[in-house]
Amino acid sequence: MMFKLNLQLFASKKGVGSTKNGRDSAGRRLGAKVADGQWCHAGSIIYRQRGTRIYPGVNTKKGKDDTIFATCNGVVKYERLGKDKTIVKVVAD
Amino acid sequence: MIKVKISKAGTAFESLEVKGHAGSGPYGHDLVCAAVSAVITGGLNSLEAPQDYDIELKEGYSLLKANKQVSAHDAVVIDTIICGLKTIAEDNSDFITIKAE
Repeated sequence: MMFKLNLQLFASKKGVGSTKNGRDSAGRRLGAKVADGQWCHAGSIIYRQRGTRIYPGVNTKKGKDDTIFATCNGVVKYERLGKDKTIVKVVAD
Repeated sequence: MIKVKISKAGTAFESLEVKGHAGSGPYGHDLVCAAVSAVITGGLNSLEAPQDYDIELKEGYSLLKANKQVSAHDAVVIDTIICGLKTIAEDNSDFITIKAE
């Protein structure tokens, strides 16, 4: 035979589809930096967050990016606030 | 879309050009393309004097151009190819069109 049969001779090119997705930003390493019952220095970061998942309590403050940090040396305590909130405080030495 | 162009000088066959992609399904499952490929490849293989023609057959393109008077046998073969393509085009006009000049 002169010509071998290729049944897809007039088919569109092989599927070389490309995706417009596939991009993602790096993880922000949020979350607790000091666990419940752990001792921490004044000024050390206790919790990194976006928005107030955890609310600041005694001896703690909330930074501009909602980071919670200790304002004195002591032991960290996480407690429930109301029905669905969590608060963190530092029990001073 | 596969475009078929048939050129004749009066009743004498001159050339048959087929180009394009059917696009009736993903690669490997394109039925219209398979039908057209089979009709053309089978037809070209049936010619008794292939040396009398310019023949091209590659992905998405096929050309059959007569350089001499077409023999009676080959005239029947060419008519069969054209008839086969027209039969395919009858129900698949979205994927193949035929133009006779």
